[in-house]
Amino acid sequence: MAYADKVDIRFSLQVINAFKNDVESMRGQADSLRHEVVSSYQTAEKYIEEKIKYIKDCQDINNTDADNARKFSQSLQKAIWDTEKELEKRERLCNELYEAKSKAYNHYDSVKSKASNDKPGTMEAASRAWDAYERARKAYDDACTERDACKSRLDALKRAENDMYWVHDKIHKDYIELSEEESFFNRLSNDLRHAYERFCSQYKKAANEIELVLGHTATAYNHANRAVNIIGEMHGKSVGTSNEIDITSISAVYRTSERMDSVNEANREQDKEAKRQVERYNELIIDNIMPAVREAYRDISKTVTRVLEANERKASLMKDLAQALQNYYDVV
Amino acid sequence: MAKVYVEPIKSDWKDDVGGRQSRAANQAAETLNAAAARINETFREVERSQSRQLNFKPRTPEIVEIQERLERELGV
Repeated sequence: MAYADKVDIRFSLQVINAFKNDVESMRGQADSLRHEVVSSYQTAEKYIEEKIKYIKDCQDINNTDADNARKFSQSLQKAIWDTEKELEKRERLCNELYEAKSKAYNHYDSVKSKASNDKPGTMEAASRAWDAYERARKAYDDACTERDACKSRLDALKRAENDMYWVHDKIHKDYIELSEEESFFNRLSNDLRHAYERFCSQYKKAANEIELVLGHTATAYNHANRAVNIIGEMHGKSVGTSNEIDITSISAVYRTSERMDSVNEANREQDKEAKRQVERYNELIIDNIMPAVREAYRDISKTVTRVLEANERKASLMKDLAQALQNYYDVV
Repeated sequence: MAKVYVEPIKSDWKDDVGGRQSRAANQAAETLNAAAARINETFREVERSQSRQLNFKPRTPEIVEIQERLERELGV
């Protein structure tokens, strides 16, 4: 058997096995990675959900505060408006009472200047004028007191109004901040979901590819194993799967196969010639040679048959080997 | 945060036959690692978001305080 051109095509079942182990390890790592990503995704999703829920709770409080503040400010505005009107009235009343008080005093002053014990009734008139003045003064003082109270009330209301401006401003700033936080976490949630969906898609694609590689590797291993067994059979010995095998290239195998065909053809011609020789030999001596010679002929004939059968078997094996190798290289 | 990465094929089958399968397997590893790197970036963003401070506090007590002060001052 001529293993003619030794070339660089070598393979080893050990190497294929090592590759298969590496790919299986890769599949394990990919699965761990997927579990890790799923776990991290669930944690992140839960965190964001809680954050969004917290923001929504804050927004509810902020809305309630805004409603209450608006209603309170409306009441406050009405109170301020009413108090301003009341203050105007009280100012006018004070002015009127001041006028009345001045008139009463002037009247008293006039009556008093004319009063005399010599003029009956004038002292009593002066006393009455004084009393009238006193009442007018008290009415004025009371009105001023109430006006001042009204003014104080208005001041208090206006201070509260100023404070409410601050509260409204804070509520609005809270609203803006909460809206920004809500937008941020909604965007983060969308980004996370899209990233996860993209990862799942890529994982599915990669996992399919790894499974395909494992399938192809198993097929390649089977083809290589078949080639190894054929080579072992041709060598007449068993070749273990752990042995690294150097074999000829496919083209060399084909060439060898072609050579085997021509050898077979030559063998067939030789066989025909041998048969013709045997026939002639038979014709000449078959009837004259001792039975021992006939026995020797049978041995020769058997040997020729074995050689022919061995050649045909080897040719068949070479074709199988070529096919096994072709299958192997188609896969890898 | 996903910290696992898929390692490329180490065996030398590819050196022997320039294998399509080695390239396919390593391509799958690259695809996975790229996808992991992208989603890890999002996970990092989520982690960074945990340092955000929300300064919200209810304004109800402030409104109530102003109402009570008005009641005190005006006696209503």
